[in-house]
Amino acid sequence: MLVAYLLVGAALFALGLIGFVTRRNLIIMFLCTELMFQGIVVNLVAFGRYPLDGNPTLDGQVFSLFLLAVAAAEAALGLALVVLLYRYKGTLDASVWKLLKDV
Amino acid sequence: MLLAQASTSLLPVDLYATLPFWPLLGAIFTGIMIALRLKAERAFWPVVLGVGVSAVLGVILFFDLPGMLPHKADAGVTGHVAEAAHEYHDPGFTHTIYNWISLGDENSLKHDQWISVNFYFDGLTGIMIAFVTVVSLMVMIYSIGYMRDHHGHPERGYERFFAFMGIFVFSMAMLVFAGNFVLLYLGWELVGLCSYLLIGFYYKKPSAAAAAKKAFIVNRIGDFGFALGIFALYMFIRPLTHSGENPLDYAVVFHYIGELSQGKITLVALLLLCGALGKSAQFPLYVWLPDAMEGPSPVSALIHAATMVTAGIYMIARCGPIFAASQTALNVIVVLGVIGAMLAATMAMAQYDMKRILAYSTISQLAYMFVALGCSTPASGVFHVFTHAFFKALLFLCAGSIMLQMGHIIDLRRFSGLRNILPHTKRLMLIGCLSLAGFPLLAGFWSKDEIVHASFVYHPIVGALMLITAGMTAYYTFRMYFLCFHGPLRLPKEAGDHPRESPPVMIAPLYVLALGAIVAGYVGVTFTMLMGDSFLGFLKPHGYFHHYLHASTVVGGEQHGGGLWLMYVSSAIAIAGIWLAWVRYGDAPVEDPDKAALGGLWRLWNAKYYLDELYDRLFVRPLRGLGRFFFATDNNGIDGLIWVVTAVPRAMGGGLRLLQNGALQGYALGMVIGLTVIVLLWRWLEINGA
Repeated sequence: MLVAYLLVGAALFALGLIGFVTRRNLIIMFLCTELMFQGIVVNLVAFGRYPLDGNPTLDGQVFSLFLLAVAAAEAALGLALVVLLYRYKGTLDASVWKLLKDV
Repeated sequence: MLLAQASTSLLPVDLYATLPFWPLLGAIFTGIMIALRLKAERAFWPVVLGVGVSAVLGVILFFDLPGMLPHKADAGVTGHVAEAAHEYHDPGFTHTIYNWISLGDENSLKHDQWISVNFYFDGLTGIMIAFVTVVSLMVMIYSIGYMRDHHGHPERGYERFFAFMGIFVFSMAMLVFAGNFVLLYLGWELVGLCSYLLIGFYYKKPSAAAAAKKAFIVNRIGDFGFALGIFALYMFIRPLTHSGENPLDYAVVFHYIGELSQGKITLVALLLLCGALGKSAQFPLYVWLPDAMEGPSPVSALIHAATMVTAGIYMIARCGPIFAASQTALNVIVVLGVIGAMLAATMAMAQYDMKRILAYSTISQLAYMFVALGCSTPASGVFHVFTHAFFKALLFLCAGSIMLQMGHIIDLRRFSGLRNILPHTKRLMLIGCLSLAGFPLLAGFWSKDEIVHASFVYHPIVGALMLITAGMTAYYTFRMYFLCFHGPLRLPKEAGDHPRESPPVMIAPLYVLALGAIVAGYVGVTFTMLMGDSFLGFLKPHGYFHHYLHASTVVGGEQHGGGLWLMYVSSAIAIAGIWLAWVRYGDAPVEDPDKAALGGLWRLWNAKYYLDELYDRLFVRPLRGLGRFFFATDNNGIDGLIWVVTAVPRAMGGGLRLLQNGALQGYALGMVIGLTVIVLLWRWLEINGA
């Protein structure tokens, strides 16, 4: 069963990664990072339920609750940043921000 | 060293030893004023006060010094040339301030040897310091009024000027006071630095910047020889010294110099002479001095006429025991002196720039002093240094006064007939010119006449050449004077509508210098009642000045041998020169009569014998070519090699910088690819490795 859960988690992570790299809209990219996050959370719960040594614990579930709290805080911060970036350039296109480019 | 110092000094020696530091203190204060951006209007106060304190101390020291010196059993004996080699009595005393550089450790045989900061006091010190500080003070006071524009506002760099001048007076006093060769060299280089800074005072003018560099570089050539001379002295003298004797102190060097072989002494003397040739602008290193006139007039008066350029004469006179022991070196000095005197005097006859005429005249007069040194009568040379300081400073400052009122025009073809516009300057200039020309009874006459006497005793041909040069001196001096003040009034348009006499702050110090130009000679003559053995019935050459110099390291006899008739001859020659100038230039003709009369010779003189061009071809251009070659080697050869070596990292960097494109998603993709590669590599190692 563990493999099925891990496959779901890996699929979520891969979808989020592809979305993050290919899409240009800042909000979509932000949602994609959340998707990758949830893929990892699925992994944590799966390993908690089916640990490799055979003794299930609640550690994975507790840890995932912590991660949800972190994700909520990060979402508040991230969306605020997106709003600020939008105010500067009037667009949500990520490719207009290239300040790290070597001149 | 035995310090047989008498207790009769008026002020403590430690107080006299502070003399050089007052102008330095003033310069530092002025520097602080510059840093705080205070008003330039009052910037002269610290330096003028500092130099004023020095001048007071210097004059008191001059009168106080004879009582402070150790009394020799045979004081006043002339002609101690022969005795110097065997038995040397230190005529002065060394005042040590602190030990500076240690020359030996505890374990060596000769411990307790130092290069000290010490001052040497003898008759020569007293004379030099007195006139250096007094002339400096007069020039400083003059500069308060001179360094201003025609509205009376201080010109740009007013504070900087006074700060540099303060440092100069400090350096010159250190040079004169120095008690060992290293400290002498220090003062020597410091005055050179001040000269460089002040020639280039108007540094925005390309010609001034070039002249400053020229002065500095030509002096380097001479100073190279001077430094080698000091090294040689150390090498030769140190093995002879004992513990507690500093091998470069004057007293020690002169004590042991007689034990060296003739060849070594001549080598040292010739190397030291190199330094003197550069500093005192003698042939063949004189070329920097005419160009140095790009600096402000007070600088020309103080540094390039009265004080710094006489440092070479001072050094040779100070090293009397060395030079007296080498007739070869003395002969070289005479030959170079005669060449310099004749060259410079002829060049001065065909110039129009007043300050340059005076510069060539300075070279010529310094050459006179060299001849005196070479003829074994250094006291006469020092006497001429002393009188020359007054009348030449006076002449340069008068030229400065004219220049200021003529809107910085100094070309004699542009103006004439200034006698009514500048009455004070005219009167003062006349005194200076008469003194320089050697008109009887003025300062310049007495000292120049002694040198002519000495040169006649040395060799009649040298004497004759000196007399001819004296005639030329009178002629070119009064050619300049008549072209400036006589004839119809002509003014350059730069002078404005109403040129007037310079302010009192400039004229007053000139009267002091003029007084010196008249009476300074009388410290070197004796009044006598013996009609038959005197000049004009009551004056005899040699006086207080020469007795004063007996208690000094100036070694040499005094020459009376030429006979008093020579004084009448040289008077007649001076007056004839002035008369000839009156006949030819008395009404300041616009067309130069000499130019037409002398033709090619005049053009040769006007072009300064093409010596500048010759030096340019012989030295400057080859050296510049060499420099270009080295530059090209460095630029193409060595830099090219480095370019090849660095090509690899540069290419790698060029490739990698493409990756840094600034796009967020690009970096994300890079991370994903990197992570994938690492994970795959890890798996591959896990399967194939362990």
